[in-house]
Amino acid sequence: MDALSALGIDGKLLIAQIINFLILMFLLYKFLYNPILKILKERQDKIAKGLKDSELSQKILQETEEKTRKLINKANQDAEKIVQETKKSMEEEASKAISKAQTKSEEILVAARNQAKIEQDQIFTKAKKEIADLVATATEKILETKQEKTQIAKEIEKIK
Amino acid sequence: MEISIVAEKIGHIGPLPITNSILLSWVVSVLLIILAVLATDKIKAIPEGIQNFFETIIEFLFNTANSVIEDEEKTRKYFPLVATIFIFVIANNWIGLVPGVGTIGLHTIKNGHATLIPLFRSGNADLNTTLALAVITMIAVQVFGVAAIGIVKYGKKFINFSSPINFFVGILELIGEFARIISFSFRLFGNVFAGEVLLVVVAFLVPLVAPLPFFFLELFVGFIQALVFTMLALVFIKGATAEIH
Repeated sequence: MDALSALGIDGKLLIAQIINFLILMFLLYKFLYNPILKILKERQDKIAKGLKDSELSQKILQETEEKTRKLINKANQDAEKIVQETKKSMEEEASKAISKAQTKSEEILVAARNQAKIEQDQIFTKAKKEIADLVATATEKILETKQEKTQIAKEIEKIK
Repeated sequence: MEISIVAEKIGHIGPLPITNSILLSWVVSVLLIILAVLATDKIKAIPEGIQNFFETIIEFLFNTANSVIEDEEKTRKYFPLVATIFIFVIANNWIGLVPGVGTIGLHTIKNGHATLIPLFRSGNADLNTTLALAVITMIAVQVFGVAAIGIVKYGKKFINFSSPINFFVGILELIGEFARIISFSFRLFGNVFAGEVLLVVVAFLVPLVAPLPFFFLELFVGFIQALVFTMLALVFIKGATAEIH
């Protein structure tokens, strides 16, 4: 025990220091470690959550972008398709209309030709008749004259 | 020049003698508690000033402890002890370097010589303080060990009749636990007391400029000793709470 007291070890002081340390530990736990560890943990959780959220939103953004791109692509394709279909149907319509017009014009032409022919025929007939009449009249007249001549000749013969 | 290995008595509170070292360790404790309350009084999510300072320290200590214990839940349980050891030891070591500690005191006549009884003395330059820390640490190690793996399993570490070799290993372990108390207390006491003596001697020989490098050295030693004490405590806790194979 002499060695211990030579080194200054005193039971009362030792116990006083132990109690002092335990009180300090308790108070520091209450006022320092507990609140600070709590806030550190909270901050860690918050940061982790923030990172996770940002990752999620990044993912959503990417997905949305992809969707939008797909949608635009599809819309473009649809629009092209519609334009082509319209073009096609318009061309068909146009060609139909043209052929219809052709047919009609041909019909009109044929009709006109027929009419013209009929009219020509009529004119011909009329002209024929008129010419025939004229010839007849002329012949008649000639004949008359001839008959007279013949009669005259006959008469002359008779006389002879 | 007289350097006493024993802390000087400066008064009494009832039956308790008050030494200059216990007085300074009380001052340190009160200062630490005041700082702690200031740091966390208006605790904010975005830290500022003193809160930031203590957050850095606590985070450093927690990561250090966790690197040894390797289990966050367990570290949380043992953290108050190891953190308080570190903070108490480093605060006492560093406050012992403040000018005035060890030099301001009462001039008295002792054994015929005129001697100075300093009002303050670094807490760890007194074996009572370091022994108290060592005893608390080693008792805590036993308590943590029993709590972690049960009294029967933990007791087998010291009292083991499975074979003669294990029996003697157990006895050695038991002696080892007491040896640790002694090594803990004398290591810290020796380093801090030697530092004090060194500074006194250098300041006595060359009062100006020359002590400066030694002050830096002692700042470093103060930090290292606090860290060593903390790390050893952690390693002992880790060893005591691990399952024995």
